[in-house]
Parts: sequence; C-alpha cells; structure tokens
Amino acid sequence: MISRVGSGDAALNALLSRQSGGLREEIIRTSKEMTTGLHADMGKAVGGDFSALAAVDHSLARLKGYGANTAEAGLFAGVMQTALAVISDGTEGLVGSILQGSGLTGSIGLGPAVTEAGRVFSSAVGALNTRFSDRSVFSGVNSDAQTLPSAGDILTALESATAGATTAADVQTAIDSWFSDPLGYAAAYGGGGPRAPVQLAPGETSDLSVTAMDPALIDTLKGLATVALLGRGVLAGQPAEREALAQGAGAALLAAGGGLTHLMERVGSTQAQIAEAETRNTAEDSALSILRVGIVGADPFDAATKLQDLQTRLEALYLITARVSRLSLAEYI
Amino acid sequence: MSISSALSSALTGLKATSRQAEVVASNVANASTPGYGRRGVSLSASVLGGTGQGVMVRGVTRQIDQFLINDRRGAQASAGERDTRASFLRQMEGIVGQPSDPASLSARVAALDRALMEAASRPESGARLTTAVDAARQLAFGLNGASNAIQDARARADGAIGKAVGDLNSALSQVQVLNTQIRSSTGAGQDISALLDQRQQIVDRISGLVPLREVARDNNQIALMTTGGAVLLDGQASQFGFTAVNTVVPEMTLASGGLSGLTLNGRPMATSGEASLLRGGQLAGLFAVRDDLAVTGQARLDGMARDMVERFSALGLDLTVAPGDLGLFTDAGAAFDPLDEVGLSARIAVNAMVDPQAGGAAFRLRDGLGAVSPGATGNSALLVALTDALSTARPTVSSVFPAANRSLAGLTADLLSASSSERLNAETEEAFTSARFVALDEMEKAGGVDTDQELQSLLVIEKAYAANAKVLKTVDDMLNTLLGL
Repeated sequence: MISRVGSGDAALNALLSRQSGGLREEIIRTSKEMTTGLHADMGKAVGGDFSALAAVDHSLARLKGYGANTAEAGLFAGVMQTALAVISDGTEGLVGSILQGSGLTGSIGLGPAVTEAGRVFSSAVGALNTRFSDRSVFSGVNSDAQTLPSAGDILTALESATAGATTAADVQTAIDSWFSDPLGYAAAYGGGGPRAPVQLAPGETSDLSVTAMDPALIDTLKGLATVALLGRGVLAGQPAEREALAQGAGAALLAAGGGLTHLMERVGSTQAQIAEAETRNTAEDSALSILRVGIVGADPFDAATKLQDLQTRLEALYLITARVSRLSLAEYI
Repeated sequence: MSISSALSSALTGLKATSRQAEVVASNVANASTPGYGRRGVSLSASVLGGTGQGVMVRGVTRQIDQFLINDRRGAQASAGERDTRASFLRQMEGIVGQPSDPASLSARVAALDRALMEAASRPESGARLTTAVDAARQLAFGLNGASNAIQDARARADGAIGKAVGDLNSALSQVQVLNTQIRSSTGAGQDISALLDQRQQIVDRISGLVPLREVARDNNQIALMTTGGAVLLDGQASQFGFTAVNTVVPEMTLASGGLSGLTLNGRPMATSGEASLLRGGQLAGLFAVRDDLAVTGQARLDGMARDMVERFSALGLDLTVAPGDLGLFTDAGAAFDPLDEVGLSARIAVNAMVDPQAGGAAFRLRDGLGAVSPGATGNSALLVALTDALSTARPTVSSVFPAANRSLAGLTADLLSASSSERLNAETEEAFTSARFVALDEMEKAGGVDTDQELQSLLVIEKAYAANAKVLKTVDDMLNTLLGL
C-alpha cells in the first residue's frame, strides 16, 4: 500500500458542516434563553430533580387560591361586622331610652322607648337576614335560606305565645321559653349549623361560624322583642307591669351587650387575621417568585456574552469555509 | 534488439500512465461517494529474460483501513442505540411535562388543588364546583393522554423494529449475492473494486442497526457476525423473523406474548440483557424502548393513577360513600382492582356521579358522591377534606416508585424527576458515543479521496506521459535514421 500524506476532501466537509451545525444549534438555544430569560433545558438546569421547582410552582398555584379565599373571607367578615354593629348600636340606643323613660308615670314615659324598640328589633332582624353575594351571612351552612322570618312574623308568634299572661314575670317566662323552645325560635331560624372554617394560608383557617343561633344574638333579640311586644298591646292597662317588663328587658339587654361586644371582637379578630394572612401570602408569593426565577432563570448577561462569542465564532467559520474551499490545486493549474 | 525493446518499454510507460490517469479520474469523480475506497495503481518494473522491459501494472488496489472501518461501525452501532434511547426519554420527559407547562401533570394537579380550595371557600357557587370537577377531569385526561403517548411511542418502536428487520434481511441477501459476484470476478482476474465499494456501502447501512464484525474469508469473501456472536452471514445469509403489530396497549408485552420477539433462522433470540447477541445497536435500542423504557414510564403513570384513585376513595373521606364504592376517580367507571394496575392511567376517569358531562351533577363534590339531592349549600366540609386528601403525604403503594410518603404533587414531581434524570443520563451517554462515532468517521473520511493530491499526481502522470511519448518519438527518429541509410 502506498503511504499517504493527503487528507480526504470529505473529512474537511464533514468537519465544517458539523461545526456550523453545532454553532447554529447553540445560537438557537442561547437566543431562546436570552429572549425568554429561562433556561432552555430545564431538566439540565435543575439537575434532573424537579422536586424543588414543582413544589415552588405548586405553592404559587395554592397561593393564588388562598388569595381568592382571603379576599372573599375579608368581604364576608366585613359584612358580618357591619350587621353586628347595626344591632349593637340600636341596642345601646334603646337601653338608653328605656333608662330615660322608666320612672315616669303612665305610658308617656315608655312610649318613645317602645316605638324605638319596634324599629330596632326590625332592623336587627333585617341585619341578621343580610345577604352578601347571594349568601345569607348568618345562616351557617344553609346559606341559600333566609335566616329569620320578618320582624312582624316573629312578634306575631310571640304575641300568641304570651297570650293570656297577665304579669310581667309571666310574659317574660313565655318569651324566654319561646326563644329556648326547639319549636319556637329554633324553628323560625331557617339556617343550618355553623360554616366550616375557610383556609387562609397553609395550615391557617379563619372562623366565620357566627350564626343567628349565637346565644349573644338570641339574648339581644329576646330583649328587643320583649320591649317591642309592649307596642303590640301586651299587658295593656297595667303600667306597673309594663314598666317592670321594660326594665327587666333593659337590664337583660345591658347584660347581652357584653356578649354582643364579645362577638364583634371575635369577628374583628378574624378580620385582622385575614388581613395578616393576606399580607403574609403576598410576601410569600413574591419570595417564592424570586426563588423560582433563581431556579429557572438564565443569566441574561451570561447568555448575551455567549451569543456574542458564538457570533464571532460563526463568522470566523464562514470565513474559513470560504477560504478553504477556494484553496484547491484546481484553481491554480 | 535494444532499440525495439526501448520502443516497447516506452509503450508500457504510456499504457501505465494512461491507466494511472484513468484511476485518478475515477478517484476525483468519486471524491464525495460514501463507501468509496481510494484506488491506487501499483506498478513494478517488468522483467523479461533477466533484463528490465519497461513497467508493469500489477493491478489496481483499493486503499481502505479495515480496522478503522470496524471501529467506526462499532461506534455507529452504539451511537444508534444511545440515540434511540435518549430520543425516547426526551419524549417521555415531554409527556410528563415541566411544572411551568400548563398541560403538564404537575400543573394539572396544582389546578385541581386550587380549584378544590376555591370551591371550599365558596361551596354555594355552582361555577366553582364545576371548575373543580373540570380540573379533576383534566387531570384524568392528562394521565390518559400521557399513557396513550407512551403506547404510541411503543407502537412506533415496534414498527421501526419491523422495518429494521426487513432492512437487515434484504441487506444480508444483497451481501450474499455480491459475495458470489466477487468470487467469480476474482477468479476471472477482473477489477472488483467497484463491487467491494458496493458491498461496503450495504454493510455500512446495517452496521448502525446491529453491532457488526466483518471477517475476511478466502477469495475476497466476507462473513458477518454480531459482536455478541450471532452469525448473520457466512456463505449463506441468515434470516431474521419479526411480526409488527398495528396497535399497542399497556397490557401487551413481550412476556405476555402480545408483542413479537425476534427469531434468527426460526430460533427465538434474546432481545435484551447480557445474554442478547444483538446487544448495542439501534435494533437493541428499539427493543429497549418497546419492552423496558416505555413499560417503566407506563408503570410510573399507572402508579400515579393508582395513588389518585386510592387517595380520593379513602375510608371516612366521604361519608355518603359506602366502603368499596367508587371514589372521585374510577377505573373506567368501575372500582379499582389492585391486581389490575397495569394500564390504569389509560383508563382512569372522574366518577360519573359528579361529572355533568357524564350525566352526573357537580353538587355531589360538595354534598358527597352518594348524595341524592343537593344538601346545605354552605357546607364546605367535604371540599376541605378533598383538598386535604390531595396534600396529605401517604405511602406510595406502587413498587415502581421508591417507598416514601408523598403528597399527590410530590408524587408527580418525583415522576417528572425520574424521567428527567434518566433523560440526562441517556443524553450524556449519547454525547459520548456520538463523539466517538464522529471522531472515527472523520478519521475514515480523512483516508478518502484528496482532490489536491489526485491533481498533483495528475501533474506527475502528465509529465511522465510526455516523457514516454518523447522517448517513443526519439526511438522512432533513431529507427528512421537507420532505415534511411
């Protein structure tokens, strides 16, 4: 065999085309990284272990869900708080009127308080029947049902319950038993059990379980209804008994005021908790987003430098391809 | 007689140089023909009666490096195998999908989690319940689609095996025919270089499919065997047997007899493992995809589907469901049988009771799968329990995953990580084998035709031809001088 010093033409062609193919492939990858800001090969970027990236992405998706939950729960708690404030304000005003009116003889003294009681009772029942985005706020899980019948209907039911009672004590007993009777107030209540807590953040739930069956609300309604009943002719012609009933109701309302305040505090602290959770979720969202960019993000400076380098190399390769293909003995002989 | 011998010497020189020019022309013309071995003319001094009588063309030699070719063929086979494996694993990673891709399994799990959580925040909303059911259905569809894609890849591999086996058989019989031609041409003393080129081209074509060893036999014959030792051609060509199928489903495996194995001259041969005589080649790669890699991928999807079914039908999760009844996800509408895990991901579906598209009602997601009529609209207890069930870390039952407690999202991430790291390993091996192949291929090509060198020798030939012609003319003149006396 003749010893050779030549190098086959095909070798040079293969070398040049392989190099230009490789460079082009790298340019495509680098420009993709530069324009998207993300690693072109995510599997390689995370070393084949997606658990961290998947966890971050899953948490971000959950945080979006929590965002919807906190916004809704915040509005819901706000509406609840407003309704409780309506009841509490009305009750406080009425207690004042009863205290002012007592001691004065005749029906003139209690008159304004009784009228006010009718109004306050009606607005309290209205507040408990508040519907927010088609949900009865105080109905618990039966949110499509109306919480309570109208104030007039309740008073009518109470009227028949107290019919025949001749003393303040008898009337009070009859009212008390109507409110505690499963066939009385509990039957008039259209709602269901308390709502389940709403998820606000990982492992954190908010309590929005207040319903019209809350003892503080029942006690307040009882006091208001008692005074309001006087306006419907209960114990008519017995000013002393009427006064005794009104004063008893005023005292009961004062006592119930503590419970009502406690309820408002409970809802208020839930509101604070929701706001805090919202802030924390937002902070976690941005922290996770930054973390995510750290995992998936390609360094744009790195990519730009690489692209510049690749451009220079590809240009050099073109130049060499052109020169080398002209370098043939055939051109000179 | 020395003048006339000078004349005949010059004539042999002219003949030899024109033969050389002919070979140079053939070399230049075939400068880019694959498998073309550069020709050279071997010359020697002709001796007649003990004295030199011009030049003699001993023959045309085909200059190849058989060791290099064998090495390159070996590298080509391993590159073929690694490339087949890596491209399937790349596809597999894409099928599972990266979390940022909304169509990925991870994103679908996250969407279900979020939809359940939002529904729990407002159980009254029919729209949110429907969204949650949609998300569950999308997750089931995602698994169905992933399973189908894997089975499609298996079917493609099966078809490619069928084609490769056909190529092998036809190439082997062609080599057998060429062997016969070469034997008779060698006997007749003809130039067999073109036939050798053709035979090398055919062998090169199948050397990516199976790792070949070419063994030289007398009279320029070759025998072909795999590096594992299976005889493909030795005088008589062997015949491979394989039957491709049209559709592949998860239950069809080589072991179950649903898919065809490979036979050599009617005898079954192992297609995987250390004992396989075909080890390391594109054919072995295709068998690995069909019978191993894709089956593992399918088993992982089935494991995830099983976890989903069991997770959402746990006892005490939904009080309206009696033990043994269907949970949120079903095995094509029926209860899941742990002995029937294979192919579950292709069959998993959302319970028709909650799916409005299947005649169910979304309120059952809130009130219980066994609920007859809608219950309390604000009741979020079951929705909260379902959200919890999705995130609870429970032991993964399927043995294809390493034993650990995982949430559904964690299991999906592990599924992706397993596919991704396998792909990266396969790509590293692919890069290594293809670099080796490219290096050897370039070395082989460097031994091919160099047109500069050919042109250079053409110049020498031209000069030699002119010199010989000059000798001829001078001798002629001398003879004329004698005749003119």
